[in-house]
Amino acid sequence: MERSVLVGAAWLRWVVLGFAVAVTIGNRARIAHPALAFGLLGAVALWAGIAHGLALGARWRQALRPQAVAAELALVAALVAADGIVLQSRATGQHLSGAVPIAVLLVAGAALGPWWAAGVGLVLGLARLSAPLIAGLPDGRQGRELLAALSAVVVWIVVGAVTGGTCRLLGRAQDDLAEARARERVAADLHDTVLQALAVVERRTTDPEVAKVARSAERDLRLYLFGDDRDPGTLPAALRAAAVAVEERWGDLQVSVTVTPDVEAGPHTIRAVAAAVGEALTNAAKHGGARSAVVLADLDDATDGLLVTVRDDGCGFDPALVPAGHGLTGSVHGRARELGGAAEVVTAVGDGCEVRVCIPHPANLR
Amino acid sequence: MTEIVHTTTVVIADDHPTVRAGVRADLGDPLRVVAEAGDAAEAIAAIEQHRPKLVVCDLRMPEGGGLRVVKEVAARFAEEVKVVMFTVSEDEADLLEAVASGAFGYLTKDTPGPELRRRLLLAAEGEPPFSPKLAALLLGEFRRVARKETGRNPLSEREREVLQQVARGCTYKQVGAQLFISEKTVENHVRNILGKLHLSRRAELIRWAADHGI
Repeated sequence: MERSVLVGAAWLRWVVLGFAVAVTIGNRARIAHPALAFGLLGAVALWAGIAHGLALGARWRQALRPQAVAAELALVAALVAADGIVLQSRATGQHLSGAVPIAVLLVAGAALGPWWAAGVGLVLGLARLSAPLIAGLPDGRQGRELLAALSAVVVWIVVGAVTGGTCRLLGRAQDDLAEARARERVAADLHDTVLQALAVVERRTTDPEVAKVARSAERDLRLYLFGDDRDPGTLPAALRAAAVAVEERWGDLQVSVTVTPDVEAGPHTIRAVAAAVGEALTNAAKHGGARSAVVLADLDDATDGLLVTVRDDGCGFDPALVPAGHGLTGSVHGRARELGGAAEVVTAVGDGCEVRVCIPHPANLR
Repeated sequence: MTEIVHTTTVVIADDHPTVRAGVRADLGDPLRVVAEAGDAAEAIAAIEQHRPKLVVCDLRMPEGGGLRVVKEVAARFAEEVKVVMFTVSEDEADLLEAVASGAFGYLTKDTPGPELRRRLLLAAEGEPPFSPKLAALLLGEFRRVARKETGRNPLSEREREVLQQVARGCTYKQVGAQLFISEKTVENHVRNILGKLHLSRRAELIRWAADHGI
């Protein structure tokens, strides 16, 4: 981005310089010190050549150094101040410098940021202000001359600051983009290599400790890469997070979370459902000794509401022997009721357990 | 001779040697690995040469991915060769596309070794390996189709029930017990469901082509 500004400024310099030279030649009859005028323009042209070479060369960063900006500033400020001596601007309405200052403002903005670029604008403005003072103010026109000079001061400060600010914003956006791209690349690479390897380790090993380590590493990596942690808003992400928390605590349990793609739920529902699922899974591990569980969030075809089921392969229990609202089912029921829905537990001894939470439409959108 | 008849030939296609080695180690008799492939082109060449009964195929591979393998097999060796997707991919569109294109089933890479072996043996006998994740995807897909088009779900009530049970994590056996039907019937329903996905996608394509004057 800085480089494109430099290249743009390099071409801009030639254009404005050409214009300034044309104006000066056109007004040569009124020029008091032609040697000084053409000398300064020559110096600027020399600088334009150097800057052009730098901007297009491999060492373009050199052009962003404060020294380079200061050198150009000094040159351009001298040119602007020389207006008062060489070209009787008050008589012609033309300026020796023309639009030459714009290039240095651009470069200062890209190289030094908004504050310094505003400072450069101020220095140029002061040089511009000094021109009519050097030349001496003709009677009856002081006011106009000074006003014109003052407005130039303000305009250049603003141009410097805006250029600097824009460059900084663009620079940040560019950095963000580069970071996001790098992350995406890393994600794709790791997905194809490390994640696969971890899945294989997890699957192939006979040592439960190793499997546990691989599983938790895979989960951390996934969380980092695919950003489940950064997007806690969706139902799949919230359910996965709840499942991961239980898996971490009860190493033997493996949970698979499935959400049909067309399920919709509001934030209130997502929070409550994730909590209910977390509890159902904890119960499956703690009381049922389950090794695997499947969480499914689906649309309930009968009510168009939300149906969430947690099914485990644990030992199950006899519902008749567990009092309603006690431990296993109490808080799950509570959360379902909170959402205007209902919970149901289907189980039998030796046949696992399924908790079903059903939230009618449109309560699920809350 | 009888031994050869009972052997099930398998091609493993995955761009990761570790994964291929892992699967190979899990299979063992009577599943015989006849070739390994590191990308889609190699896989297709190996399938052409060996005409295996099963292909265990990753979704993300160079040279067109598992999707290309599935399409190629569906076009040239349908019925003869069964492609089972074996992937960690959670990209739903890809997975649905693979199944709609004719993949026989779907297993995740965290499937434990003995389970993988069991499911592949069943696949060889005609039972599509069908994970809860895939079932849930299909439920959503068919609802989408129903909402968008006729307003009627292309699945029968029974098929929808079967799909939902599988999505909850039930095995075919458990589904059968819950719905009072035999395991074999569940299997038939699953095959019909997969066939309907295939058809609905094809119908969509044909409609699209007609709409666009192709």
